[in-house]
Amino acid sequence: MDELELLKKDWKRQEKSLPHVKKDEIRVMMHKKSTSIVKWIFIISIAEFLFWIAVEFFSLFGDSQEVYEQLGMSVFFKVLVYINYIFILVFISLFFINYRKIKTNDSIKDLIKNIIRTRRTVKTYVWVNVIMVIVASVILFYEFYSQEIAEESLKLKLIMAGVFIGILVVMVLLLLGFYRLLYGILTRRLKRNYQALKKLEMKE
Amino acid sequence: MSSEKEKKFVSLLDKHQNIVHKICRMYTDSDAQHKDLFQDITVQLWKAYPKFRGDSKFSTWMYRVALNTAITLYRKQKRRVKTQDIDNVSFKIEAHVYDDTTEQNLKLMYAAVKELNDIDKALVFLYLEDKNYAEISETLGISEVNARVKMNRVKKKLRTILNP
Repeated sequence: MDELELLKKDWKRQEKSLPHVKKDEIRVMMHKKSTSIVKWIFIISIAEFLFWIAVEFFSLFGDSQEVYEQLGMSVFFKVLVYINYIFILVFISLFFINYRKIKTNDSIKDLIKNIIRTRRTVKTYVWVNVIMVIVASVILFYEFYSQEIAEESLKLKLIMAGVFIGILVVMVLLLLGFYRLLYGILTRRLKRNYQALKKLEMKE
Repeated sequence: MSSEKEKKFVSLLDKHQNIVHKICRMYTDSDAQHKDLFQDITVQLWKAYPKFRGDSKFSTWMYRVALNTAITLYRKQKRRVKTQDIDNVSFKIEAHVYDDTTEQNLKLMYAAVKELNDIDKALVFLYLEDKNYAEISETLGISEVNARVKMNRVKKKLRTILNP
């Protein structure tokens, strides 16, 4: 007999030994909270949006504004802030459109695809912010350099540039490490399963 | 007080709960995890219930939502897991039903199925549940040909395990 048929026969026999949950217990279970990873991705994503909006807000009203003015760059940074507002609006809209597409009624493949897409939207937003921070820092450093330390010795210039690059690299690495840890745990299984499905398609 | 809709849902789930238990057996390694996953699937089914249209059978719809939960949404809770022998916990082979060789073969096959990845497990599960390839391909979101090819590969793999 085919091995799988033997397994199928036994699988049917297994039904007798399955546990049974009473109707009352089902009623209680229905209203409990799920541990769904989608829920966690959603919560973390909203927290991310809020974090970057807060960063923007504080840099707009904090002391840094004076520094920009001293360097004659306030207009440049205001433009940057408005561009970022447009980004926030576009990304949040995209995020919600994607999020609403996540339905457990879909096929396994479509569900995983939609979750990954939602996650990717937030990831792109984070990258856009990281790049904007890098660009703004470089421009700020350049202005600072040309106005404040252009006349100093070469050694001091090199030290300043080194410190600046060092801080920037550490900041970006910390941020990336944090995200990898945060989402790595949540999306590792999703990605693995999506790869498995994609591999099936490729072999056609 | 429970509404009519809730009552209907509870009785439907009660009637078909074996499907959920079988998925739990397939995807978990302990009683605690089984309970956790059953709970999660129940929540997801209830959440998706308003979108359930009577045009498909409740059980068919259930396979899909329950498998989606097991494969995609559920995160195994490690804190309550104790290592237990899968032969004894997940699949109960009744020794007196089979001769020794058959029993041994079944144990080997169940262990091999447990080792499969999430997607292959779903494929085998639906096959064991007597689903045809059209249903399998629709639930997984892959083509029928691919489902068939993959299933043949799994069969071959199981055969190799039994006859090395």
